[in-house]
Amino acid sequence: MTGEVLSVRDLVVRYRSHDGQPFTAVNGVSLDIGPGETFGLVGETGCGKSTLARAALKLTPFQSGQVRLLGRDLAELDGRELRKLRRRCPMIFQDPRGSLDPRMNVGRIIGEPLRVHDLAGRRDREAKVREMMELVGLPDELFDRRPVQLSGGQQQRVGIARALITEPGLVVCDEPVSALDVSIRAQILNLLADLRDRLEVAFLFIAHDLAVVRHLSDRVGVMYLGRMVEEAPVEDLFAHPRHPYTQGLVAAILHADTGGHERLQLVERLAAGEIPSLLDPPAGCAYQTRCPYATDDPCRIVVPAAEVVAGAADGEDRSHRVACHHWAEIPAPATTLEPGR
Amino acid sequence: MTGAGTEAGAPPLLEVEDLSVSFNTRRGVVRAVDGLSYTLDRGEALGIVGESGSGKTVGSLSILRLFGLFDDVTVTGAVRFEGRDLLRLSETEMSRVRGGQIGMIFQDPLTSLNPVMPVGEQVAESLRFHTGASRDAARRRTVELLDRVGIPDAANRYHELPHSFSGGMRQRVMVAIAVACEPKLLIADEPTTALDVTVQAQILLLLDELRREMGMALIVITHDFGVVAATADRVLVMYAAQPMEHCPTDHLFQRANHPYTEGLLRLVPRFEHRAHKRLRPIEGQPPALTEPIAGCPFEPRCTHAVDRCAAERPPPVRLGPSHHSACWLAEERARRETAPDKPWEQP
Repeated sequence: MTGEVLSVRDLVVRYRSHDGQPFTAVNGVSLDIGPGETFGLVGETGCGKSTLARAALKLTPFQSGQVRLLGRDLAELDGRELRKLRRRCPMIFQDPRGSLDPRMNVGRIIGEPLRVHDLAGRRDREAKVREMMELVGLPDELFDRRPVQLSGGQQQRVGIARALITEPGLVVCDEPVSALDVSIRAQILNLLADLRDRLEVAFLFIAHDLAVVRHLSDRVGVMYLGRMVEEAPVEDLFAHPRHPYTQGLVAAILHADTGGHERLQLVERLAAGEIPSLLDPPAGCAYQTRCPYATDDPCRIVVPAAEVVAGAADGEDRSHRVACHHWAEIPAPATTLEPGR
Repeated sequence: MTGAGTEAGAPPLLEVEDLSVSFNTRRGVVRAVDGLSYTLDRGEALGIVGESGSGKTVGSLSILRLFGLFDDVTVTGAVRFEGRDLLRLSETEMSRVRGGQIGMIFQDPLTSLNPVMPVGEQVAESLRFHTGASRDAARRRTVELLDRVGIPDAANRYHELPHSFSGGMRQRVMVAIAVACEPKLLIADEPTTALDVTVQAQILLLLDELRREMGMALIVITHDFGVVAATADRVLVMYAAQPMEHCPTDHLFQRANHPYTEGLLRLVPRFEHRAHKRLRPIEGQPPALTEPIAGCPFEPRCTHAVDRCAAERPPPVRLGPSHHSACWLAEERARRETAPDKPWEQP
């Protein structure tokens, strides 16, 4: 496990609903992120992807399981050590404007982590901020502007600069481009790709949109109702999704192409109905209520364990894993993404 | 494929002619829609695509004269629905059209539904107002409608309040209200943007089925070409309050002409893309709508722009029976040897 940036084992996070009912938001999830690796975590509302990320930084407590972050076991850290560790694991949020203090100017916002963690003096700070602004493509003259005076894309660049200024080991991006217009979204995705390549920083990239995740991730994990249902290298996941839910998500990527109607019908077949309530999860496989392949035995009785689909030649943890009782018998849907040229 | 051509003699269902809408705000006059024209036949589906501030929503809500809280609004042009100019109707006449002959669905079902009224009654209310149905008849029809749009156990869920429904189920209720009076036109403004992707597919499929069953025309307003591909016969691309390109949907993916359309299409996921493919974004920002624009609004971001583009506004150039592109280079671009049949490929 040495060299791992983040290693999560059998993580369980339980919450209480507003009327006191307990529910399990993350249910026995494991994942590993290596140095410089980008892990894309996808799933729909309530699947636990954001909770998992927050628990990995211990921003939310977890009930059981183990998290090793930048080589440290979170269970062994006191509050001071935890804060010190977290400054190397910043977050980038969905709503760029809402996550920036409206009273501060751009320079101060970007330099704030250096000040809070006492990492640089005032003069050094300003130089570092300007360097960072150039890196993320913010013109120098914006240094004194306030967030409201910036466009959405510029605001998100400020969020990215602030995240990267502490030379992080892991950056957690929670839906970083969902609030942006299409033409601006592409600019930010390219920027994140450049930064990933240049800075060799690891990313945990959370999104509901598989198409976005596909652009940036080395590995992708799919969560559903608190569980990891499939995990694979990015090309493998899109070309050969094994779990019926992943197949539905891949088919649900709306392409600017003909045949849209057939794809919608395929999605409806693979992902019928709606996500059940976390307060009353189904017995057995979490997906059995929507799955076209579900059988009474074992799907409605036994929770499927993650099985290895195909290991890579080097035998490292690069494998394709799926948690489905029937994955080996499920036919490949007609509409999946074949690997590109 | 329903083309733009109309049957001889019969007027189109909807004819929008040189529609302009501007809001007078403290910061000056904001031109939200500038010179929008299109026609829509019975049963036809049009996708209106654009980014924030493109005028796609205001242009469509103007059909229903819904301007939100703005009362200081200037509207010019004409919106003829079955030959009647809706901009000239009285407020009473207009209220019969809204929800009756023209239904609408908005992005956020929670704010569009009355939170303290059972969902069934919200559907029945519309039926009784527009069709004069009795209480019992309206209730029976409502249960049928809720069942048709995919609400399980519709008869019992009739009495529940919107908050006990999921986002997808609320949007189904909105669809039931919108189609209750069998409108001739349904306007759906970002109908699936707030929904999860698998539920989005279900709702788009439902809209498509209902359109065919009821013979409704449909206007889908969206930022997503994927939504257009799945639901629309024709597409109108808007940018900075102006129409840029208007063509059949299958033309769009093979013969997109306008540089802005081409730029957007490069950013849409495609089967042919490999993962980690580098995107070619449209550099720069859209213009402020408070500043006057002499030429083409896309000129500052356009990599093909010539001198004329900044000086004169390009008129829509006709490239085919139902294909128009507002670009000075439209004809030249249409003749290109290497037609942009794969505009998403790197040069």
